[in-house]
This record gives sequence, structure tokens and C-alpha cells, in this order.
Amino acid sequence: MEYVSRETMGIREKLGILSDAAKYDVACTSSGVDRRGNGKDMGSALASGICHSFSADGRCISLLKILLTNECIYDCKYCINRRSNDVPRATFTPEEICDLTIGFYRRNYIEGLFLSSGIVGSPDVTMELLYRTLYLLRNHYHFRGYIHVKAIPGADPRLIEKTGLLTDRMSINLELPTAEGLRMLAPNKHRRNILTPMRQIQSGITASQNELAIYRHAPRFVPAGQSTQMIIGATGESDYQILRVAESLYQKFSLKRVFYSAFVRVNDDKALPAPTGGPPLLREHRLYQADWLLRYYGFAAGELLNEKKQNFNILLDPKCDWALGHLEQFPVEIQTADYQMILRVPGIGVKSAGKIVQARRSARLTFPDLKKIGVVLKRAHYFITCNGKQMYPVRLDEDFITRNLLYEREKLPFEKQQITYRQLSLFDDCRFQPVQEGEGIGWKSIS
Amino acid sequence: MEEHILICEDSVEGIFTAIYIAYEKRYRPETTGIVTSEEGNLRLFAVYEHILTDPVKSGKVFRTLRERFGEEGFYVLCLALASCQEDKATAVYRCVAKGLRLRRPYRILTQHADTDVDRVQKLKYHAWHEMHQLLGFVRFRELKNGVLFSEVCPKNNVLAFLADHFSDRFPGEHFLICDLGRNLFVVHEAGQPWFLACDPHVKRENMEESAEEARYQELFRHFCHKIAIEARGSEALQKGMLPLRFRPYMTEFTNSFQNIK
Repeated sequence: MEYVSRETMGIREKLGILSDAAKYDVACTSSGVDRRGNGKDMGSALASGICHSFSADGRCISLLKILLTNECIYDCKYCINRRSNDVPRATFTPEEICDLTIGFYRRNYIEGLFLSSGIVGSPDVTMELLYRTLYLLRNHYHFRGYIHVKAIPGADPRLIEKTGLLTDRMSINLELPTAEGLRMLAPNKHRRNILTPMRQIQSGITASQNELAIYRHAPRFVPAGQSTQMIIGATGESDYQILRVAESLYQKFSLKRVFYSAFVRVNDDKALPAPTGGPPLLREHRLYQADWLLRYYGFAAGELLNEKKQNFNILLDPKCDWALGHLEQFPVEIQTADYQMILRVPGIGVKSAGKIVQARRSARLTFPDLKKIGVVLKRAHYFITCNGKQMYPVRLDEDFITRNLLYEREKLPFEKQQITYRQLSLFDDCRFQPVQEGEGIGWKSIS
Repeated sequence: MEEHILICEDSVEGIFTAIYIAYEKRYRPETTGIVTSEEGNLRLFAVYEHILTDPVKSGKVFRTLRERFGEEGFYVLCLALASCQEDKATAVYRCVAKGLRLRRPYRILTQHADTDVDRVQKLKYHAWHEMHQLLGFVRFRELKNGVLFSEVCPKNNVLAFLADHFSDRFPGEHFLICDLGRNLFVVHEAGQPWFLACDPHVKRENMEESAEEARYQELFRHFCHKIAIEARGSEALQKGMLPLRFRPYMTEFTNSFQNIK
């Protein structure tokens, strides 16, 4: 880690170090803004976002996710780039970032740039550097693709505003769900410093939208909205607390997304929880499921969990769990129930609920029709009736349905598949061992 | 009852011509099918007709469908016709016939309980999904003369949809996208509208890569390697999201483009 070698470090090493340092940031979405090409400059954006590749952990690679620098004056216990860690350090120049972005974008490797940074010097200096990089990319390289940039807590509001006009999405990491957790693990960060710029961006977005309603060509401030991320499992919060925080962020700060990041233990520190069997992926998965229920299914955090029941059921997804606790609201008649209620049936999602509402205008729906539409009947059939009839005559009993739902094992995205199926063959018999070479006729020669 | 089966060229124009003829001859949609290739299993009581693609007739169908089904509905029908499934033409034809009987034909596409509509929506979904995957998975490499070149091998005929996207995104670039399975090329010249070229004689020998190319490929491979979190590693998840069939054409999964055949 000599200073001299840093100056001469090649772009490949820098990219390696700075993408390695950025990988714990979850957000890699390129969604939220539709921008057609202007017929002259390179770049466009699709509201749905585009995934360009998938890395070995199955997460999508959509943006060139890098840090501007991994030098940092802060000493957050969970972070690989903290001041007290002896890791190789590197810093990109704004030109290097622009060249990389353009070179990758032209070859359709990426959808845009995700730029974050360690805190170098002070929050203001860092934010200024981020701003200069984006300015160069937008105005000198004429890049019209997607940009996601971090706002640095504690930076000058004017810098954040200027940066917001160049970027598509901005995010400030909440890091930990509660203020106590933050005080314990990130001594240099303060809850207030994080929430202030978040509020600023929120009001900036609202103001920009109001302006756009009057002037079509008004500059757009953070058009794809803002997001944040929380680390799950580094401190002792319950799922209920986390979900309540997420809910209030959606309601009070109009966030587009809250990301949950299963805690990966990269540092050995006495303030961190003892190492267990890998990151808490199931917990993260349940939180995302609940997050979707909050944003698209009209659920409230208080419905899914409460003071008495603080954590999610590990065996059942939150929606099934809710439905089993509220059997008095079921069965739902598909032909007449309103959209919001259909949405609450396990096995029916946003798409199939929408299709049901469309299709029932022109036909009486039957169970085969529902199957066509995409309803997962093996979960849904306990909770619905079509034209007053259930699919099978089953009783609406909590224990009975729970047993049956558990029998249909839930497919989890991160599970390693342990059972593999293969064709049986005559030679699978354990008594039938291959003969060692040189011992006459082996089974290989007969087969 | 007599069954009619119209055999036409596998293109939007060919299928539209067949639809025109089915209407002209007043065939019943329930007993009429349109296929795009010679059927292996001939039916005893069906009458087979070969249809020659006629630009005037297909143009009329094109205009009618666009007017009556609206831009969005027409897009659904076109994507369904881009599918690789054999029953696509019949499904689209029957769906169109049912739709045109309504006062607002585009409403037919919301009748999901109908078998043909459901089929069209499923065909559309699969073609759309592959198209959307390819928007991300297409990899360009820069040739010596500055042209961006890419090879793909999709199941569905989605090249035209890709061309729309990339010509919008890279208006100032010359690029070629080649569908290896169909031997179709998208040709886009900077500042010009794109066009499809069928079976052109492209000399592969002249396709040397530019000096910068190998460097960027190596940088991207390195980036993809570094961005993965080992503690979360899951090959199954990666395979689910990025099926193996796309990988021979993608920079990060190949050592060099010369390897692919």
C-alpha cells in the first residue's frame, strides 16, 4: 500500500478494488424513468429497467457499480472500507469513470452508472467530486443513460441539489433501522444527518414535478425517485421494527424503494454479532416479500406483524401467514369481490388480479380459466370460490390449510438444490462396483 | 364440416396475406387454420392452400388491424407473431376474427378466459420476455472500422424489436446485430433508420476487433467477477435469471468471441 504505487495503478486494478468495495450496496435497479433517445446523443432509459447480466450470486448487474474512492474518514464497524481496515485503496479520476461508463455502455454491457464513494476529506469535498464526475459525464460526454448516485449525508444542500439535476436516482443509506443501532455501529453517522438530505430530495422531487406540470422542459430533479438501504441482522431489531421503519419511509419520505441487505460479516469487531451460518438470506427474503405487500398489495405493516408477533414466520410467506390468521374474511368470490380483496388471496398476484378483473366483465370465470390467467391454484383454492363453489370441498380450518400449504414446499430463490434427479440405471446397484483396470472385463466394456 | 388450412410464409406479411384471404373467401375462423410451414402430419379432411405473400393485401390487413386494435393491441399481435411456436398464426387469426366482431376490437385482448386470446397473450409474453432479456444480454464488440457487431441466437424472431431499441439508444453508431439462427441482420448506419437484411454475404474474415476492444472486454470480465458477493453465491439463482443458452454470445462468459461457432 505505498503511495507511489497508487499513482501508477492501472485502470484494471482500480476497477477491481472499487467495484469490490461497492458490491455490498444493494441497489442496482435501472428503473423508474422513461427517456427516449434524442436522435443525437448516446443513451436512453426504460421505465422497467434492464438487467444486463447476473453475477455468481444471482444478483443482477445493471449498472456499473463503483465507488469514486474507497478512502474513508469514517469508521463504521460493518464496512469493509472503514478507516481502521488495512485494505488496498484506490481513487478514480472523473475522466476515468466517464471513459469506463461510455466504453461499457456502447458495448451494451451496462444500463448506466451507479456512483458511490467513501468520505474523502469531508462530506462536501466528496459530494463536490461526485457532482464534477456527473457534470463531465452528462455535459462533455453527452451521456443520456441511467445514473444512480449517492447523496453524502452532511454535504451542502446546494451541492445535493445541483447533483440531483444531473442524476436519475439518488439514494442515501439509512444503514441501520434504528438510531441506537447507528450510534453503536456507525459512530460518525447521525440519524438526523441522514434524514435531512432525504427530506430535501423529497421536496425537490415534488417541486420539480409541479414545475413540469407547467413547463414541459423544466429541468428534472431526480426523476426516478430516491431509495435507501438498511442492513439486516447486524443489530438486534425485530422484523416488525424494520417494517415499520420502511413503511414510514414510504409514507413520510415518498421513497421509491427501500432495500434490505442481509448482513455479511466482513470485519471482525466485537460490536458485531457473532458469525453464524452465512448472511440471513431468509429473513431478507421475507422482508422483501412484505415490502412488496406494502407497496403493491395495499397492506399495512401493522397487519402483517404486531407488538406480540414481532418476527415473520419462517415457514410461510407473509401473505399466506396473514390469510391464515384472517380466515373470517375468506372465501372470496372471484366473480364479485373487489380488486383489493382479490389481491389479498395467497396465490394471486398483481398481474393475475388485474386479469381477473378484466376477464370477468365478459365471462363467468371457472377454475380452469383462473389457471390460464396464472393463479397459483394449489395455494389459492382454499381461499376462493368461483360462482359460489370451491374447487375441492375443503373446510376452512386454519390447521388443515396450514398443514396442506406446508406440504407444498415454498420455493426459495437462494436455496441450494440438494436433491437432484437422474435416470435410474442398472448399474446404480451398490453391489455393482466398477472393476479396477487390469482385472479382466470391466463393466465399461460391456456397456 | 370442411377444414381449411392456409400455408403461408413465416413473416408478418405472409400471415397477414393469409388472414386477408381467409376473410375474402369467407372461411369460418373456428375451422380455419394458418400455418407457416408444411405440416408433417397432414389431415384427411382438411383442404390445404398455399398462399403467396402479397404486399397489397397484407398492407390492407396491417392498416385495418392498426386502426381497429389500436397501437397497443397491434403491438401485442405483432409480438405474438414473432413467436417461434407453430400455432401462432392460427391463434392470432382467430383472436383477430373474434375481435373484429366486437364494436371495440381491442377489448378482445382483455377476455383472458377465451382460449385463443389466452394463447395470443402467452405467445406475446414469451416473445416479449425474450426480447426484454436480450435488450440487456446483447453484447457489442467494436470492429476495426468502428462498427459495433453483435450476434444473438433467440428462439423467437425478436430482431426487429431489438433494432428499435438500439437505434433509439445509439443514434450515432453504426451497428450490426446478427440473428444466427435465422441468418437475419439488423443494419443501422449512424443517423439513418435501421433495416433488416436477409441472408447477406457478410465476410467474417474482415471482422477484426479494434485495438481498444480486448481491453474493455477484459475490464468487464474483471468487473463481473469482482461484483459478486462470495458469501451469497448461488449458481442456481444465476442460471435461473440468465439461462445458459444466452451465454455463448456474452462477453463475461466467454474468453474470446472467436471461440463461438
